Amino acid sequence: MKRIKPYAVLLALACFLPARGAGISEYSVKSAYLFNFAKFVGWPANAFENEKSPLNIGVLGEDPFGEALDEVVEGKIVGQHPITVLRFDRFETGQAERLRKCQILFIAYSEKPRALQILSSLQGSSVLTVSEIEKFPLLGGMIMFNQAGKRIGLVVNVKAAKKAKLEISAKLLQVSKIFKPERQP
Amino acid sequence: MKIDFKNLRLKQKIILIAVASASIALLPACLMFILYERETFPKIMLKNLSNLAQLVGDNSNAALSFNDPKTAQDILNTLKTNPHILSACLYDAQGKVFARFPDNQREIQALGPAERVEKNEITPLSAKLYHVILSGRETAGVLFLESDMKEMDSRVSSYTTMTILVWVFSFLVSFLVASRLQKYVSEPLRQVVDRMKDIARGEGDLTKRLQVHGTDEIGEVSESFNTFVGKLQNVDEMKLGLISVVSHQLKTPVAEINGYIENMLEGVAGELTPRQKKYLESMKGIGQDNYRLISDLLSASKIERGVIAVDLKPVSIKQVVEISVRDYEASIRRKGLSLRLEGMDSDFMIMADKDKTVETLRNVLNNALKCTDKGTISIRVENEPEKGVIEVEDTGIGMSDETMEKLFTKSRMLGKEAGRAGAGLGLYIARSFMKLQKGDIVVRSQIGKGSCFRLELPKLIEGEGAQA
Repeated sequence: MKRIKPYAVLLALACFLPARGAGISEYSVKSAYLFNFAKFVGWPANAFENEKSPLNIGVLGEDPFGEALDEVVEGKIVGQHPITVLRFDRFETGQAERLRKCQILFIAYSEKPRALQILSSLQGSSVLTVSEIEKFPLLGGMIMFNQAGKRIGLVVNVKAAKKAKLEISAKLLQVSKIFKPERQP
Repeated sequence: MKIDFKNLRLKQKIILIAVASASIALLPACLMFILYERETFPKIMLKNLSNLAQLVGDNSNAALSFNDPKTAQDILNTLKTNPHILSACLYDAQGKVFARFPDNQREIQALGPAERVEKNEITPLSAKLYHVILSGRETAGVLFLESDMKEMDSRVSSYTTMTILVWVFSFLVSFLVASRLQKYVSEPLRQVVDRMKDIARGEGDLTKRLQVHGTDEIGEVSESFNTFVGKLQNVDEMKLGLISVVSHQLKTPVAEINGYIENMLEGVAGELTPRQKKYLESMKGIGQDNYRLISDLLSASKIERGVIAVDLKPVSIKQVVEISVRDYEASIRRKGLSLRLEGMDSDFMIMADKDKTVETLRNVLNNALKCTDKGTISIRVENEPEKGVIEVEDTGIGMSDETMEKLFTKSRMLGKEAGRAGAGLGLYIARSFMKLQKGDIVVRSQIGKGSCFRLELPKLIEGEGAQA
């Protein structure tokens, strides 16, 4: 009995950790955040083809969400727009037109070297850009996931959002850090 | 406290009825008022609590969506501005506690899926509410609020106080109003009752009529009473008229008969046998009594009709006493009584109607003689500063206070004493005569010891007699 005990503990831990991780993993939380942005951000009317056309969440680069994002948005409707997920493997110049069809665009970490290029190609469109790339707001991105202790926090570049004619709800700003370019190093 | 309603005065009854009906009528209204408040207030309270939950829930929406318990806590902490909120708890979409107020609370259980619904619960001590917070079409979390019932308690108690005040106020107002208005009913009725009592006592003036207020039942009673008094007055006048005529018609024949008897006794119609003489003596006595009775009736009817006149002249008080006593001296001695005259050594003048004063004094002497079987009858003349006084005191049977009270009224006419004191009108006439002469007659008496009648008449004032 005494010899078996450590194995049993290890076994229990081994079972416990993945199970817990699957429940509230970082990316399932971030998936939920991506979906929730749809509720707290207002797009100009011309951002959609019509009232009932889908609200597209694009994932550009190496997709960290996997199934989690699809599970979150499955069957969900915001306003009158059903939610769809569009995936783009990596950024190519010719893709710009397709990226502009997204209302929310998550730029994966793999696209860090091309981040500036991507953002400039979206100039003049009303795409909410989201990323976990460091100093994303400084590059002109709108929302950055910011790991602050246990909580996944948000940094919002209000100026960039305004420029893209996006209305970010005051409630969302209340739970976010506001990016201020002057203070950033 | 038991109220003997039957024996309350009409005034009190009217006030009591008014106050009781006002109070009783108001009672259900007051109760309804309180019950209605008790019924509706919890609904209002839940509505307010629900509005508050909606507001707080809406504000917490982003905090729940983006997993920000700190902001959620800040939002919940704003509840401390509402003193009635006992506790609050924000659960996330999975039912786990996300934030709570006050934040130093004991452990709170997570909500099961079945509990994540809109519901509320009211107990006498608190109101609890679960509010589902929606984000778009998804459940973002659940807000729990618990409020105390102090607001309701204080409202119910202030409503109760107010109701009691209204009740007391209406009680007082109805009391005041009834107290003021009752006299329109009770006052005319009281006048009728007072008049009835006066007339029943024989003191009321039958020529006076009640003032009739309105045409209601009391007005009718007054009207009927006036008619009744009018008839009574007619009867009274008829009676007086009859007495006056009859006594006037009888007086002369009786006087004539008495004259004949007198003549016969004096032997004018020839020698009388002792037996004839004895009979005539008896007839003389009866005749004199009759004459006096008729005279009294005539005088009384004249007094009643107010047609009697007095002739006031200076008169010697000594002379009055002497004239009056003269007729009774023999009778007094015959009965074995002694007669004492006091204060007769000096004389003075009074202003009086000689005949009426003599008649009064004779009347008093006659009574003294009748009521006294042994002892003395004293006549005392007193010279007081402004009036002359003649007192007649006997050692007779005396009389009770009750008798004295009615002594000088005509109501004695048919009373028990009538047998002994003739028609019983003598003293009524005596007082009327004395009053007409601006004098008075009073009596003091003790049963078994005797009575003393005191006649008072104004003295002649110097300089006045010369003209008279």
